[in-house]
Amino acid sequence: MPTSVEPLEVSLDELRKLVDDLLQRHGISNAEFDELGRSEELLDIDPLLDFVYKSVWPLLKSNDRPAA
Amino acid sequence: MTGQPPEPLTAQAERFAAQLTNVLNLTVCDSALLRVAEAPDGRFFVGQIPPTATSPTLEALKGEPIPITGFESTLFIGANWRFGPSSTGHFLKTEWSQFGLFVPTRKAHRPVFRLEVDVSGSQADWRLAHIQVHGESESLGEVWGYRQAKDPKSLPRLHLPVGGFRYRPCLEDFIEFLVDEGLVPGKANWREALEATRAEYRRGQLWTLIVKNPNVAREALASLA
Repeated sequence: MPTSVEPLEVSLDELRKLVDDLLQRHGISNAEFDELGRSEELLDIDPLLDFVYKSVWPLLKSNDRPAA
Repeated sequence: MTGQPPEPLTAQAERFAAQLTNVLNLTVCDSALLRVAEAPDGRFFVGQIPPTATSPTLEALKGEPIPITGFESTLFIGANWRFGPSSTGHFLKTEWSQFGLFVPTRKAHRPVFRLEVDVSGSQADWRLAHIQVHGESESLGEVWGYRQAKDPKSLPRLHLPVGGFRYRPCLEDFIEFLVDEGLVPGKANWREALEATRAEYRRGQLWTLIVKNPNVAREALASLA
C-alpha cells in the first residue's frame, strides 16, 4: 500500500469556476449560499456544498479581487 | 522548531499526508491514501483525494470517506484539512479541518459526529474547534421549550467546545475515541501506532503555546528552580 501520491495543483481561477458551476447547478446565488452556510443547512442539501462552503469558499473570499 | 531551516510548505504538507495515511492504515483502515492538492499562496488541501484524479474537481478535493477495516461498506472515517502558511510563513497552519465517523445512505455518506476546526470569520475562540453530534435529543427540546426559543437549534447545529484552537484533539485522539468506545475495531497494536505522530502534534502545540506565552513559560521554569 503506497503512503503518498503526487500532489494535485489547483488555481484560484479553477476553484472559482468550479464553485460557480456548482452553485449554478443547484440554482443558488452567492448570497443564498452564504445564508444557507451560516444557518448550517447545506449538509442536508448536498454534502459537497457543505464542504465547499467551509473549505473552499473562505479561500476564495479572502482572495477576492477588489472591484475595478 | 529544532533550529534547522524549516522544510518547504509543500514538503510539510506531503509529509503530513503520508504520516496520517500511515496512522489510519495501522489503526482502523486498510485503504487510506491521503493526498495533497496545492493551491496558490501556500494553501493546501489534504484528504482522500483519488490517486487517479489528474485535474481538480470539487468532488476530488472533498475526497472520499475511508472504509473502516472489516466494515468496508458500512462504516467510514472522513478526514480533510486545509492548511495555510503560519504568521512567519515557515510552517503550515490549519485553517479548516474536519474528521468524523460516517455511515452510507442512499444519497450520500452522512456524519454521525464531526470534529471540526474553522478559523475563518470572526468566531469566538471556543468555537474555532468544536464537535457536532448528528443525532437527536429529547432533553434538548425541553431546554428550548423552557427558554421559549423562537428559533431552536437542533443537536447537529450546536457546536460543542473542545478547548479552543490550540488545545483541540487531533485525528489520533479521534481514532482512539472510536476504538475505545467500541464504535470501530482497532487493529493489533493500534494504540502504539498512533502515539508517535500524536506526540509530535502535541509537542508542536506546546512549542507554539510557549512562544506565544513567554512569561508563563518563564514563571513555570522559575518554579522548578
